[in-house]
Amino acid sequence: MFDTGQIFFNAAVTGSLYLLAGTGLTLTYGLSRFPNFAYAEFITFGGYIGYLFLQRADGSLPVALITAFFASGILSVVSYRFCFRPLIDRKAALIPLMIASIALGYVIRYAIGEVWSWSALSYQPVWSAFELAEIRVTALWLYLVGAALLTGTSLHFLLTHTKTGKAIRAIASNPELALVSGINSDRVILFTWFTGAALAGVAGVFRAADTQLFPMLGWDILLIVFAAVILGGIGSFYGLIAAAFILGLVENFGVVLLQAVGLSTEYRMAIAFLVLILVLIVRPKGLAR
Amino acid sequence: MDPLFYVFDTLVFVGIFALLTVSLNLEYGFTGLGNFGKVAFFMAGAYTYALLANQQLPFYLCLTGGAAVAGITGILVTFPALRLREDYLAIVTLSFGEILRIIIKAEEGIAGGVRGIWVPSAFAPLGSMRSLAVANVLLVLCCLAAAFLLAQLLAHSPYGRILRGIREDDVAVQALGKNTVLYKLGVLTAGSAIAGVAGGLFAQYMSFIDPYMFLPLVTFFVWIMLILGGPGNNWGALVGALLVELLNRGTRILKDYLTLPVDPNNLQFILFGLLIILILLYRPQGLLPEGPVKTAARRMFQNAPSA
Amino acid sequence: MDFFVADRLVKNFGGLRVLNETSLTVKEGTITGLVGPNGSGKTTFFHVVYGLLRPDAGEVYFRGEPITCLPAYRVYSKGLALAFQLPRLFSRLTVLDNLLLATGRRSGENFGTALFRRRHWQEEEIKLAEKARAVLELVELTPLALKPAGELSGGQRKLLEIGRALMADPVMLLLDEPAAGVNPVLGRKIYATLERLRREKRLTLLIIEHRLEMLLDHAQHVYLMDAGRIALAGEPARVLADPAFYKIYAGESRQWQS
Repeated sequence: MFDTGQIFFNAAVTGSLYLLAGTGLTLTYGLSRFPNFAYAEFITFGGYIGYLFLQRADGSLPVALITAFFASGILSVVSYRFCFRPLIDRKAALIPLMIASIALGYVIRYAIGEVWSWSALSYQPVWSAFELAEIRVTALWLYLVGAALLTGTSLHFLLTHTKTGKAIRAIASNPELALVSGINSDRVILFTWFTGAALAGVAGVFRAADTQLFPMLGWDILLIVFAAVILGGIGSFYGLIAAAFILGLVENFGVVLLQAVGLSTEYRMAIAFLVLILVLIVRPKGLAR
Repeated sequence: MDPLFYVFDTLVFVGIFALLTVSLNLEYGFTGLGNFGKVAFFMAGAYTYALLANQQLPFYLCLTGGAAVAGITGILVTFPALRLREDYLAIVTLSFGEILRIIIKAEEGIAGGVRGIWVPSAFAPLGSMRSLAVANVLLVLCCLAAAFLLAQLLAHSPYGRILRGIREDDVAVQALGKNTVLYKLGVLTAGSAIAGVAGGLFAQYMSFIDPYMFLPLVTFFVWIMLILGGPGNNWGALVGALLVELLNRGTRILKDYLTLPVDPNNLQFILFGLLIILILLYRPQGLLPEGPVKTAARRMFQNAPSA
Repeated sequence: MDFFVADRLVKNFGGLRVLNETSLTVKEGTITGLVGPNGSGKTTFFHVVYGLLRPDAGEVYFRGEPITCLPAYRVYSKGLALAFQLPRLFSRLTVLDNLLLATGRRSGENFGTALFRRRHWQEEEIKLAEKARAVLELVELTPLALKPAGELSGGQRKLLEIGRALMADPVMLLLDEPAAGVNPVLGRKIYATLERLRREKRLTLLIIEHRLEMLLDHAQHVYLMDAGRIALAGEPARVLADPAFYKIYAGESRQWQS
């Protein structure tokens, strides 16, 4: 009855998207210790920058991805430098930081709406679809999964074998100690904010390519990405990997189940939220801790 | 458009939003509970009112019903609030609002789903749009006055003192013998009930509601109003609601009279966002900062500093 | 029946055993000192007794009743009060409000009475304000009554913390280094007041203290704690004269056992 192969593949695709979108969120949440709701806009912005190169059918996906990568990264660094860092310096508490991130999100989102209008746009290129072992696959999805694998391996290497990576882990676990250990926290934090959002921008391109491009693109998936971040344990990249795919499975199985039971597929979002709420109540530290 | 009617319409909206802001002030301003699901209770009150009013119940019963349902929903939210860190609470309450909206959207049987539901007005036909607007202004302002009074009485009392203590250090308050769980429960229930009343008033004024009127945007608007006006100050809550609603309407009016290179609707949100960031940076206490707990004890010390 | 009994309390933090079967008793109406090197578990002991932490084993009895594992606000209602080592004041509230929060059960503290019995609790406010005035005089903080507690200096915060503990008319008081950061004259005055309260109101005191001379003057009994256990007990003069005392304080003792 269930096409399990297809579902698993779809889950991998969904999970890959959440992984790309969530990496930056979990790392910066762990480092700077507040949930940045403007992350939705880093995703969306990437999608729109990518659009510049994918307005025509002969557009190049790699170029779009790379440009979105840098564009979102820069946007994030600017946000941190002019909005969040001043607040953190003034010892702003958690909720004001959150509200600032929501406010910043509005600024960016409506600026995007102003520049590109609020109507939905579509990427023009068409990616070939074919069957691979009876599973429906598109080239786009393969790129997405590939990007996620690349991210997974690079970040793993970064976190375990480079100074920066170890610094990230140090600062996340004990900021004061990291500071006196001579780690240049500022640079590490900026690097994380850049890279994290850059990956989110890439996620934005993939999401827009897979669905449509509109200013609420990022916000649409933000809460689920938060669910993945929290489920995996805030600040834990490895936890996120597991959580992203678990949520991908939940979502894709969920859709099929809902249809089988006769409930509206709108509920698939509700399932993700319920998972989130349950995790927070039962095991707030997430999987990894 | 009749300018006088527009003024009344504005007052009604200011009143409804002021109710929401006062309720959030109780939860966050005084007790430090970051409730990001305000729209959920607003919605619960609105839909309850709609369903009850469609059963031909008089408006005060419908409002009470709305308040009760919203209040009970508030209790549901309290339990996670007890154990969760502020950011988790924010995300949970945000998600809760969305879940509620999804349920109403998906289940047409409850209240029309995406197609919405019609709501009879609280008043029998009064003859003109203007008279109806005036009646609504009076009704809303009455409810607002009651809620404001409640909030002020609580804030400047031993109860309010404890709330402010909980805001800063929950454990220390427990060490002083207070069961902080009960206080959080009380505040969230009261705040949700007030939001429910606001929802009912909104529903009957608009005559029609659907899930698209209850987006997280409403919650954020209320937060903006509170931050601008001054958290921890009930007058600030009123001022914040007034200013934000005026700014909101002002930009809409501008659209009719000025041709700007920028769409005023987009500009409005960009400016609101920047405004909030600036306030958080340079005047986090808001326009009207929080005042001390005003009771007979304070007066005594003010009048006679030493025995 | 012993007034206050801690019976073989155990508390682990991860792999670290901070309380290693700590046992002590306190007689009613006495001042008992709890001394020991830093890190011996004294403050943790207080937190466990008071219900801020749950012990992994052991019991606490107060006036014959078991109070182990009761939450802090219930322990408070039994007549125990705690003054923290690092004052946990409400910095955004005034000094007066900090004191008024510490008055034990009173009118106006629940939803109903706050709204509907205003006149009643306002009257009680005035009476409690008088009491607060007396406490403020005692800790010499009167001119600061309406200042936010956050503006106080370190020593003043300590005094307020103690004043807060006194507002509640507790039966037994747990004081964590009450004289730390306070000038010696005022420290002596505080101890004189505690002594007076002990005599007049039969207040029982268990005090964590590093200023051993205070205990010599005022305490009837002293416990020396080391690595989560009671190592020595007895009259202050004898305990302080014991050779083991200085060895332990100097750090030549066992480290925490894992």
